[in-house]
Amino acid sequence: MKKAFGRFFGKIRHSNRPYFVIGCHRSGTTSIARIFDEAENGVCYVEPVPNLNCEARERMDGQLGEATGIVQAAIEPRISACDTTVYGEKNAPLGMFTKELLQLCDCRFIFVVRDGRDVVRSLINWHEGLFGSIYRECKETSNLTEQAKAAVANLPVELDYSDYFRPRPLPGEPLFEQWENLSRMEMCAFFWSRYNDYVLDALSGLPDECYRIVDYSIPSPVEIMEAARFVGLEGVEATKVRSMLDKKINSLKDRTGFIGGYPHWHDWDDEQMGKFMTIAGSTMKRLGYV
Amino acid sequence: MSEEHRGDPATLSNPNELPLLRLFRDRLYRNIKKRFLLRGFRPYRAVNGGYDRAAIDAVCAQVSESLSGLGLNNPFSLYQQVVDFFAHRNRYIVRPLRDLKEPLPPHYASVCFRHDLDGDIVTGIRAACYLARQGVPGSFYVLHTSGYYGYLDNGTFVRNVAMESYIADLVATGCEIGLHTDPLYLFCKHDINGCSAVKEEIAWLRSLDANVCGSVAHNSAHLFGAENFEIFRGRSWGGRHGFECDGKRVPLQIIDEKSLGLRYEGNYPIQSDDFDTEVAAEFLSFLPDDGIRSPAWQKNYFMENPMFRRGYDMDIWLLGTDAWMVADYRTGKMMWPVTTETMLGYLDEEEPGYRAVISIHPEYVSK
Repeated sequence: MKKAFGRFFGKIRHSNRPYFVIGCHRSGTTSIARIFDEAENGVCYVEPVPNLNCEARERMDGQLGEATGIVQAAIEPRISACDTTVYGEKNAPLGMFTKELLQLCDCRFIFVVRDGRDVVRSLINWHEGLFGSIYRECKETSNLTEQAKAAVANLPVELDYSDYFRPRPLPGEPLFEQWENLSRMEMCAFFWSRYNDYVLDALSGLPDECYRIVDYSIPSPVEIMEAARFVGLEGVEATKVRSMLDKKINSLKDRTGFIGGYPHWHDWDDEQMGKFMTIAGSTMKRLGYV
Repeated sequence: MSEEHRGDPATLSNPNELPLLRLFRDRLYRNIKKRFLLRGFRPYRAVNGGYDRAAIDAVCAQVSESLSGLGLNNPFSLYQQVVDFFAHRNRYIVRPLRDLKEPLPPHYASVCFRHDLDGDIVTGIRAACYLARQGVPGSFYVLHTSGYYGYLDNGTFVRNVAMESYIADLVATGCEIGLHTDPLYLFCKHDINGCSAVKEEIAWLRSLDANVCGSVAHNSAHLFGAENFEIFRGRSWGGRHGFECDGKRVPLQIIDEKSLGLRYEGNYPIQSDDFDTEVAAEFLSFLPDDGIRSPAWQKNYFMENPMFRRGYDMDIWLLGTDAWMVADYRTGKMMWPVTTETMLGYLDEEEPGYRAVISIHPEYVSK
């Protein structure tokens, strides 16, 4: 109400500097976006379209050259349509276009990271409980819920832009030949590692004042409020943040009532952990998780 | 024209007749005709049982080996090479076969990957997985009379238990799944109602979450005397309602595709209205020793087929080791055998705006 009132009369003080929440799927980006959307002077949209899934995959694969025009055509109209508040959105694929976005709108980035083992577990539970379409080529048999079975049966591969976005090894890379025989856990580990490495590399080329990294492995209300202030948001209160974190927004339980069955990484055996670390170990070290 | 090729009496209606009355009379006629034509054939009964996945995997491996023994097999990388060529290129739009007739954007050619799963569903699934990895659509038609699917036991069809997990794997990849229809085999060789088999197997596939909206006929008319798609109403040669096979009268035009939820037949056949007994006999008896790899047979079947022509521009079939057949219906040009490089080069050189169907039997890329 407060926000609507302020928008109507154009009285809300705003920085006019948009922000983007980026991060690998299942890292907590939707949770932080919903919290940010509670701000008095700003919005945070969750995955507005077009979200450049296909272009982001091409970028990760090194097959997309100049992309300023593509990014501008997709993003600028959204920002322009929201000129009385701090514009924000969360979109994982935009992590591949940080340079273009910065040029376009002098924005800020919130890069949400989470322990790769937790992300992999969450991705597999998400796959089994809700969508059934994470790395559709994986041979591993999945124990899908009825909801996930129906979802995957009704989504033809040519319309599955989310799964297309997830990276696959390129010819010449060590995993290229082995890929078709990898488990879903290994494929998800590759996704997490490739995505985070790409964004970390990209952000390292940007001025420090443009981005903030938020660790969502054990989300901290203080860190989230600091991130909100960093992007110019006001009125994100500690009690509200705590209450929203307690709700575990966009968790499998929040979405379906189910608790996924994939074991916590504390319960992985040596072989499983070894496979994960072989693929994602260097990124785990880079982010300080091991 | 003989009795059997006359038009359906139900269509010879009086224009003054009430529409409801006409509808009732048409249905009554069709039901009587169906019962009359199907008399003498045993009902189709199917049960689940048979072989598990390990056993069927071994059967498919044997199919692959025997094809290798004949010098006709290719490494799977050939399939990957072809898919990679078309994937995400500005010039091509890759579509499932169900969307073949969708309008083409300017300056694009459309390509459909049709997979006839005759003998090796294991490599078929591998192909579907590869397409999923590349985010590219493909259409896969499971053959309900194939050894991997099931077998007849004292007149009862036993579906292999392995099929449920194979279909689940295909569904997971997001490919199109359809039925490779072979009702004439059941009619001609086992005196079983093949039309019921088609209906029942489509229903069974749908019960496994396969969104079946199309079929593709197995084999060619040379085998039994009719195309398998002639069991569908309105798809028979010259409107015939049956044909003779091994001394039996086999019915045609029994199934209504629409009422079965089928939107297309994958050959997109455009039937000839003219049926001439002599032309038919000459066409159907032409079976050289090297069969589908005979240039004369290919010309006879693809270019000069008196029964039907196809509703798209190009057929491309993989028929041997790095050996493709290209039939370009727009120009009448046929090429066989051509290498993968030549085939792809030909498609690249042609002006966009065409619709090509690339047919692959996965056992040919199973080495």
